[in-house]
Amino acid sequence: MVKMTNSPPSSAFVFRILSPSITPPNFCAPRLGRLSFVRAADKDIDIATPNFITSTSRGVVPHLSRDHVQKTSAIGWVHIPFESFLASSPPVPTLQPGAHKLHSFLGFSRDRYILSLSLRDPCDDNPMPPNANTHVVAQSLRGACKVTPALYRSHASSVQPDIIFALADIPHTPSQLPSQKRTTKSIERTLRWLAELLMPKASSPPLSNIFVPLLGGNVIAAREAFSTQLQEPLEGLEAAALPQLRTLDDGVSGYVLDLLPLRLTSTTAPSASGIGDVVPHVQASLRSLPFTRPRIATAPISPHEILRLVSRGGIDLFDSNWVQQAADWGVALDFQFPVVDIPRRPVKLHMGRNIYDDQYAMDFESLSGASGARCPCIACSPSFSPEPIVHSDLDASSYVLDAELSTSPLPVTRAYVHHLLHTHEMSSHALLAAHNLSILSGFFAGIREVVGRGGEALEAEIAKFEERYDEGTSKLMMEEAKRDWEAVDRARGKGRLKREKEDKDKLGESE
Amino acid sequence: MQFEIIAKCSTTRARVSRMKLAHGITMLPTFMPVATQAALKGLTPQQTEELGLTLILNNTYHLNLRPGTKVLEAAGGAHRFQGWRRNLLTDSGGFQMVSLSSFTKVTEEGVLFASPFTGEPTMLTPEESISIQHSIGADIVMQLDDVVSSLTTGPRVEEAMWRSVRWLDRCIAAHEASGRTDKQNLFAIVQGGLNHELRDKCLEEMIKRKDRIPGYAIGGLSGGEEKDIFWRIIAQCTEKLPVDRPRYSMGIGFAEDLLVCVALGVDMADCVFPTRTARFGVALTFNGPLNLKLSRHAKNFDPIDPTCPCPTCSSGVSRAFLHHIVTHETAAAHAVTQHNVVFQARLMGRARDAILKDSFPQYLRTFFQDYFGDVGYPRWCVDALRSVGVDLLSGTEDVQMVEGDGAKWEYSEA
Repeated sequence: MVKMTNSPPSSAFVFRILSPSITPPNFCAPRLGRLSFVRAADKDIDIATPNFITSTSRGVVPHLSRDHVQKTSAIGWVHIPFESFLASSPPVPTLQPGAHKLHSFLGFSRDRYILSLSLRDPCDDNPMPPNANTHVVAQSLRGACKVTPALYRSHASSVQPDIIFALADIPHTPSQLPSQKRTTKSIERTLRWLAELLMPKASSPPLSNIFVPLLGGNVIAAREAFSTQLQEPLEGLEAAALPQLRTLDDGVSGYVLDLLPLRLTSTTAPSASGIGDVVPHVQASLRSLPFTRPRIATAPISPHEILRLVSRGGIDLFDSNWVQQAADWGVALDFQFPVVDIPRRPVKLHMGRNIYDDQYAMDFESLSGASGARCPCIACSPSFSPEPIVHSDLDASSYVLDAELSTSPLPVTRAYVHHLLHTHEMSSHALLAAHNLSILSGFFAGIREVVGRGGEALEAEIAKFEERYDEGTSKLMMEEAKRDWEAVDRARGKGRLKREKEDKDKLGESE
Repeated sequence: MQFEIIAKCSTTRARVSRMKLAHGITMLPTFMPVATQAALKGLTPQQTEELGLTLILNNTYHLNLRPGTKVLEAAGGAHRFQGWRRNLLTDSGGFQMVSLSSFTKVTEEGVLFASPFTGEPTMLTPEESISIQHSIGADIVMQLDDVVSSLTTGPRVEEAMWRSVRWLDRCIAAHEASGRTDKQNLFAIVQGGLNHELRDKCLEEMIKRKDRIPGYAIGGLSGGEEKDIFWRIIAQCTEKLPVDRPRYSMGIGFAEDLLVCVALGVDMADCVFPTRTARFGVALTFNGPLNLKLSRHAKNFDPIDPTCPCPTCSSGVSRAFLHHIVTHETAAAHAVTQHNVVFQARLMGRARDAILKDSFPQYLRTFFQDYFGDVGYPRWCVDALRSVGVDLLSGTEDVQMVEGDGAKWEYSEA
């Protein structure tokens, strides 16, 4: 069993690779692992890998109230981009009284949730002003702001997340390949900033549990160079400042592979599905690095891509942004891995349904298909609390329901969610977000089961999955849902009255 | 419907009662949050029930447009469609015809309005309104009334009042013919504008039909009229309405309005205010509303109200965190909506307890002290409560009086 321990013990985690049981010759082989986070009093949190990390916006799981987060068992590890808190100085979470400020400010109990922190949102593809040698440009609510490694270190050590993503100098120049010079600079900066996070300082202890983004963009050689430099013995000033480390890599607990910058500047020809293959880039980064550290890929966009990265990249964790995005657009995901044999169908299935579509107006099925196992989410398996809040001494009798009325609730129907989507009701997205996260959780449970079988099982099941669910048309279905969402949002969302007035004025002018 | 009065306040006209409908018991007085489109905005039916709610409102006009009666009937009614197992009330749709449609003409036959789909003239008759409400299947249904703004004066008010009486007869006939009177209860709506004579005539006519009407609503108010007139109309209606019928005051949602109405003998009220204001970041408390968008809450790590049992306060969500997310994240709207709905329910639950213990006047004094002590009591509330024997000012010194509506709001210090 390969094992790795991190220090200090207060926020330690252990990553064990359970299968394959010996380090295989192939660095990117699929693997089954377990991350154990030490918590007080035997309440350690175990995350079985491969698995996913729930994405957040401004510190919340989009659309889910705190009680809904707690009812969504799929949510265990939550990622927090810190940039939304930079609008005020000092950032408000750093002022939260008590220890473990990030957990308590955001309401994620340490008994149940792992929190990771990055400066930027790894799924934000908006163009940004360029970074400089001394700072990264982040997006706060008040606009772009500059963050130095020292400031990031100070914020991170103040709010005490479980995992910290090191700063990355990712050139945000959409649809344009960065020059070789820019690529070299981004590698140098990222490594230098990493060193700054790891240095012991009088003001604050060095950060631990750091995951470093593996840079190099779309250039295979540059990605290899980054990983090589990460492992070179420290020299000169850096060696003196980091006496506890032989290499920067020794100070790192895991790796982050950001897929978004690869997609924005893709040079690889897109496959038939319209989704470029990022596996070669991931492999280039990981080839020379230790096999034993957890690997996170950010911003995947389909179950197919996740399967490719598990089977050919040995990736352990992925963020869930794409399934939450699907919920924003009215898509109820419905796919299973491994594929359960059902009667042969003439056409491939999509990985979900665009519930905006009129075919669901009278569809009283649940969000998950009739064939699938019962989804445990708040939409497919709703449950009433036996103890509603009591508002007066007289109320007891009003909470007793006749047997006829107190039967267990039926699953939320597609027809109801269709109605909620078209009437711009927020609960549609709450139901879909919880549902999609649960579907994703089931998907990863299936992946772990198949990886655990070993041998050729994974490749065989992936082939069956790709046969059943069409990656390309699934993408088209998502795009159609997005257009439907935009149309309803325009007709019913914020600024509706102003738009109606403008349209009317325009009509007046033309008449 | 079974309606039973359990206790009466010995000073005011307030009463506590038990209303048993086809979907369980609702204790009165109560506030009904509005689930316009078959959902309390942002919440699931399970969350709504968990807050301790037993009666919510759906809007007929909206449900008739979407999902439409065909879908509702296929689903087995609005309860099944939205997964709500408690009591439900629907309005007649008439109010929205007038407030939302771009052109509306009221004739003796019904309300003529522009279809929001095709723009074509469409007629909503009393019979049609009842028929739509039958498809929805709410436990309480409302008659179609001829709605005029409460600021309207002149002969139109009297015409609308008489027409509402005639339409009530048509609604009763349509409802009784459907054979649904055991499951669905038709309420009459008292009209007559701000004119006491017209209100008296309307009351007289509608009370004549009492045997065929399980409950009464007071309509045509909350349209921007002066509060001093508002409470006098409510007082006039509750004085005359039959004691053994629930009374529903339409469109009332501010805390002080609710307690004054309860003191005057009102049992039920509805309003979009607590849920709508929540979406704008305003949290209701017994010390007045908090505007969470204001920067003074940015570094306050206390919950909205540490004594509140709602999911937001009891899980320790801080004002600082809410300040960070209100109007940006839907989850903030959900959190404050849950809180505000629970605030309204606590306000009314405490009223029920106080009436039962016959300490309602003291409850009123405590409420006004906590809520308005710092900014001054609205004079109309003091006057209204005096009319039913409660002097808010007794035992307090130096209480300021505020003219106008006196509603409380948290302003920024600009």
